[in-house]
Amino acid sequence: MIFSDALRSIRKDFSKAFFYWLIFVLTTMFIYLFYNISMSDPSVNPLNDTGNMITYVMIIVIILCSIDILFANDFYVKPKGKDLAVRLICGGRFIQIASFLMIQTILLLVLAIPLGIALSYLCIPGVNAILAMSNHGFAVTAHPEAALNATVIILYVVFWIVLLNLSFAYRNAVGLLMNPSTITGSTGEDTFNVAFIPRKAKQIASALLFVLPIVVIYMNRNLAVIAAIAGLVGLNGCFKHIIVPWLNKRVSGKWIEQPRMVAALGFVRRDLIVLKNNIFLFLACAIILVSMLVNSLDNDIAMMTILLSYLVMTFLQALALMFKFGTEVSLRRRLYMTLNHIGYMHEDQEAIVKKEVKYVYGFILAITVFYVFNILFAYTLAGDLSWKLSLALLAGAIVPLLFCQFVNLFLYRKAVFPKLKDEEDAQRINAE
Amino acid sequence: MSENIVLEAKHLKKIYNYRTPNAFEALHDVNFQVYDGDFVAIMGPSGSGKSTFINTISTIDVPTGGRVFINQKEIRTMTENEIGKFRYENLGFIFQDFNLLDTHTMFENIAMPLSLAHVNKEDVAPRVNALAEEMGIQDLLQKFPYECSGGQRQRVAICRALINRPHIIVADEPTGNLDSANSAELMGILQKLNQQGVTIVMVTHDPLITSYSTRVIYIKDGNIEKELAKGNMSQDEYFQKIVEMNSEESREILKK
Repeated sequence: MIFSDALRSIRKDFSKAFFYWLIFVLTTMFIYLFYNISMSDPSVNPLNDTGNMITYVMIIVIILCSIDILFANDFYVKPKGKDLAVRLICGGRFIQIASFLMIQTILLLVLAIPLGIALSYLCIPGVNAILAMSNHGFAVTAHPEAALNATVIILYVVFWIVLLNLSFAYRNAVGLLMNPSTITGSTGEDTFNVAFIPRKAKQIASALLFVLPIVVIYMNRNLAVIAAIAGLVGLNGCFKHIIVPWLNKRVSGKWIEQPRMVAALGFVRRDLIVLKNNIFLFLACAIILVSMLVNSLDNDIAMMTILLSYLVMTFLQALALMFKFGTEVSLRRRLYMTLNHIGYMHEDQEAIVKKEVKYVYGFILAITVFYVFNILFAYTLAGDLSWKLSLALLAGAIVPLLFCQFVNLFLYRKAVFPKLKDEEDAQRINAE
Repeated sequence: MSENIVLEAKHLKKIYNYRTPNAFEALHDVNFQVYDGDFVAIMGPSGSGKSTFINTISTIDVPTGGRVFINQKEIRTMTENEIGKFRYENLGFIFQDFNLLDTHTMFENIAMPLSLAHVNKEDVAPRVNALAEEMGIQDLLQKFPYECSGGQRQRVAICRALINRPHIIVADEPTGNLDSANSAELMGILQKLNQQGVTIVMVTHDPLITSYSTRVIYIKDGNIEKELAKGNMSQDEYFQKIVEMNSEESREILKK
């Protein structure tokens, strides 16, 4: 019974299940490939040689993969909240609901892990071809232990994440059933409100803290990682003291005459508050790995591993952003119905969706390019990095975001403009 | 109330899941008129078709058959743009669950219809502030809906419905989420608006709330079963009649 319900649930939310499955395939691919790289060189042993840079990268990578799976799981589980609530009210026990979700996840995992390993295995000649170009004689070989390690790590992470998310859903499911429209969350206000500091001073300090680290990177490239982290603190301040207040002022002031902008920017403001942590994670991932990469240019294995980590991690973090954004907008159908009641036409609503997605991703792209470009440019100017590699790394951060923007636009439209069969019927009958 | 018909439904029919085994006819051949300055309450048991009816006559839903005229203009002949324009210029909606945008502040929620009507930006804030002051919510304008109580949210929803000075207010169970004090206050506001000439069409299942109207129609199984006008009755007498009408229907169900 639970098994057939779980299958039905996957079929019902097929597009969400597909993206959830895709995350499993990608994380399996990457962890498997990573293990193979590290196991192919006897000088690199991430499990014993804790001082090795690759060990640090591996820890970062596994943490980021786990965060990614967490967001993917949230994206998949959250819309099932009502389903879970009904099961709870009907007397479902925790173990039954856990089984309902666990069966779905395990089914997707069973389909994802072998494919991930197979695809990763097929990527090894490509990785070797890139390594051969650098002429240092190192080649990646496939190791059976890598498949086992990757599988164990993925299963372990997924098991705990499903339980963690389920506990959250368990507590909130009934409340959700009672009042599904309630949005709770931060309004972007200060957690530690330092009211005695004038607002202008906070704004200037935040802007300086965001921009000055770039100057530091140009002056001393070795400080790239620390400066970039300081820049993130500055960005956090800019969020609270500049961006959100600026949006507040514009939405109810200058742009009040433009109905599409009023609606779209209100949504953008909410999105930025909801996505803030993901944006930071994406930036941190891109900046830290780029900085580590440019500091490892003299070590081919480390460079190759970090380069690979950078490319896959920016992609996975962009996917995490996409999932978070997708989860947020999947609950917006009601809001669009309200816009319809107020008098926004379908074409206005389409334009609002496009504007919102464009502005959210535009913002993320702008701040990412600002930091990653400057770090890369500083190294390229000093001759440490070739222009080609710099551009490839920059593209490594931009392309995943553009891909996710496209997917989010598709998911958003699907969530807020479902096909209205009755309306179509009525139009057909009236035409007849 | 004048004799000008502002809203008319002729042979209105609504079928859900048409041409499927689950087809369900929610409204059967309904004929109905609303006059300028009318305050019509629509009553009926759950599932009788009240909300389908109000949605269909107010351009939110598309009828499967029949015709709806607003100010003598048939909705089906209007383009989507004309319907949108018609909504923000002539109709104000009030719902049971307020339907405010949780992503926007109260000020922005109220100002949205003005934005759609391309009201000059210098005029927006004074109009919103004036109406908010009238409704006693001027201190809430910078808050988000989820930071306010049900009564406060419903006042904001009323402000949004009134900001463009609409000719018709469509209210679907407007007191459904309010306590008795807030309900009475809301009905007082609607009654005052009606006295100022605003036409009101309201769905409710509560006889006391219905007693604020000037006319009540009773819908059952997708048909208009009964109609009652207040005429010269006092609100108390009118309330008694509404209760009797409701209980007659309930007793018929018991007899079955």
